Amino acid sequence: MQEARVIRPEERIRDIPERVFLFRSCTGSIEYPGTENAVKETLKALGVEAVMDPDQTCCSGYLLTCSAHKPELSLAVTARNLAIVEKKDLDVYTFCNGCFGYISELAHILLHNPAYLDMANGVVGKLGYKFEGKPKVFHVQELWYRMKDTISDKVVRPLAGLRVAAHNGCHYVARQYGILDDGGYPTFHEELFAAMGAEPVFYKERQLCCGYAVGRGFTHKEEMVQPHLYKKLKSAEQAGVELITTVCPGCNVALDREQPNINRRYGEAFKIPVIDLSQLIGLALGMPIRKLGFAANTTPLNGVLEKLGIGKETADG
Amino acid sequence: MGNRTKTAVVIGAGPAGIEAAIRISQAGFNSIIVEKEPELGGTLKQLCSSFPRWEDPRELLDRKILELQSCPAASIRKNTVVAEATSNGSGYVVKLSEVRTGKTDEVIADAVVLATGFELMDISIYGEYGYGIYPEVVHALEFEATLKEWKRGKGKPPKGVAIIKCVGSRDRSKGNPYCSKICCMYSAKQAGLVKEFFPDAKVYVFYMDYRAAGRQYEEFVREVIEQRHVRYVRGRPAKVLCEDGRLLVRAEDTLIGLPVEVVVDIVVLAPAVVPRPSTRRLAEMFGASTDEYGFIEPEPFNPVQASARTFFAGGCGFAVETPLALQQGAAAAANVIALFNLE
Repeated sequence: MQEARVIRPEERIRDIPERVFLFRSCTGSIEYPGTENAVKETLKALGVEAVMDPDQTCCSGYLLTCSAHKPELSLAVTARNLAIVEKKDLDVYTFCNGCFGYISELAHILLHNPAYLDMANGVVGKLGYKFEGKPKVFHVQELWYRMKDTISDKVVRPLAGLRVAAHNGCHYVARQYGILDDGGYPTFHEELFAAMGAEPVFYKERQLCCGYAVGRGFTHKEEMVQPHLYKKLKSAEQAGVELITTVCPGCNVALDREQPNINRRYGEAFKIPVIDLSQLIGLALGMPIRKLGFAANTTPLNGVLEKLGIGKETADG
Repeated sequence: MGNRTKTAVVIGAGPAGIEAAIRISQAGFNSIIVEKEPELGGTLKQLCSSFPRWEDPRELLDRKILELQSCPAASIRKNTVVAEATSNGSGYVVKLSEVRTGKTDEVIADAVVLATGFELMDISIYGEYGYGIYPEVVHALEFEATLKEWKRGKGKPPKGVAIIKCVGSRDRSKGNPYCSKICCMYSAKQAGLVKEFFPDAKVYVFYMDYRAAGRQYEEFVREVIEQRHVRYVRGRPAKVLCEDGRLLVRAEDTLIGLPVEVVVDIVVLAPAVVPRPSTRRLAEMFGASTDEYGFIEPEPFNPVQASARTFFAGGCGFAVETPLALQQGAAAAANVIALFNLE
């Protein structure tokens, strides 16, 4: 009747790729450069070569979200970016739920509407690009889950006893088809935490959206999003969460950067560090702390690193 | 065929099958009613009370079973399934298999009535509602058992109950596109029963819209809302969460346009009605076809005929309430009797 919504990781990624096209994220690479580093290092540790191309542009999801331009523009941008990947005969791996969601959806529109594909190829054709629809779109979290056991084997800094909670992000778990877990009650991040020795925490509001698109994209009104975020962070605090991970730099910005503002508005003292899942994996796999770029965080990680027995000196060096 | 008394095999002993077997036998033909379970009654035997008259289904079932047992031409085969069937030109040779012993025997069927009933969709795919995660989230048939306990004065009284309708129905993304038809009415019945047993309990029914199309149906739902004081909230819940050992249902009340949260002890999900997988297999055996979901497809211009000598009644055709199951059982029997008389 319809495609399955939840599929096994082996169905999603049948063979572990040798090389992947790593799709850089504007929010991720600018706000939290450590995320990109962590993704690259983790791929390396898992024996997967990351191919990048400076010619790749932003996925243009922002332009759609904020209705900054007609959707046709984003279709052409997607055709251009995927044409670059196609030429290299690779699949795309994003590390941002936004990039993942937008590229998947826009590619779907292109490939199911010949008129849109002609239009987009007409535009990018003038620049010498042509998209034929070969590359598949993945998020690195899917590869991490597919390689959970390998990751577990390669842990050199066990996250023993660290109370970690997941923030999944809507643009992955709200998808209709072909995702790795039940979007209504996903547990695959928690499984990864456990595989690295951490203690997963299922806090009450773990599935509440980060509010980033509403607060920053549509309305630019703090009062729209802060009560919502307050509810989420309060619930995490009450559950004793020591660290939250995201798989979307947008979510990371909302949950991390907003904490001081929320503390001011509500007279609270939230200081729950928020990092990318790839950074946590990088940490467990023994990446140098400096490369993980925790200095970019508004809410510092110090408590977490101390708990893991990583001294301040190491952290700075 | 000579003067041999003709025989119809009725598969499934819920209200539809029982009714068909009774009527065929009362008209002077043989009927063999085959039931895979050790007890007759199908889904109906699991139910507590009924709509629109709050009658006890057990009473109806006992009467029907007594009537069936008093038909000399009706034989009842419990714990039995149909293993295979082959056409013998004018009908079928049906191999019956005893569930526990595996012992088989063959009977001749000059006509067949499929009355295999329905089942409920697996709703654990709706992770947001927590079925299979929180033990206090139950589906409608499980809740019928709880209601029966409460009726007997047993079980722990609830402070709050929330019923969520259309779980898997009218949902083109994860569930089925169709309306399962009976859930609006049985959910109203269940909500009304909780208020009857525990007038102080808070009972909420979350609905997209309620469809009470039937004699006395609208009046029944209004009674539940206005006299029994069940709160009907228009909105599909987004999440069921655990809070301090109770369940929190988060939804939008689309009539007031605001998010609402209620804390309850039990969440009842009304899952989509789906065909049993065995229905498709049996339909193939008897030359009948099924639709895209697996419900039996009727022949043109005869809503209870599935193929030349195969008729059907009850939930294997689509979701039915008890009176309609009885009507269809009688209609299928009328077709069998007419066919036998013409030959």
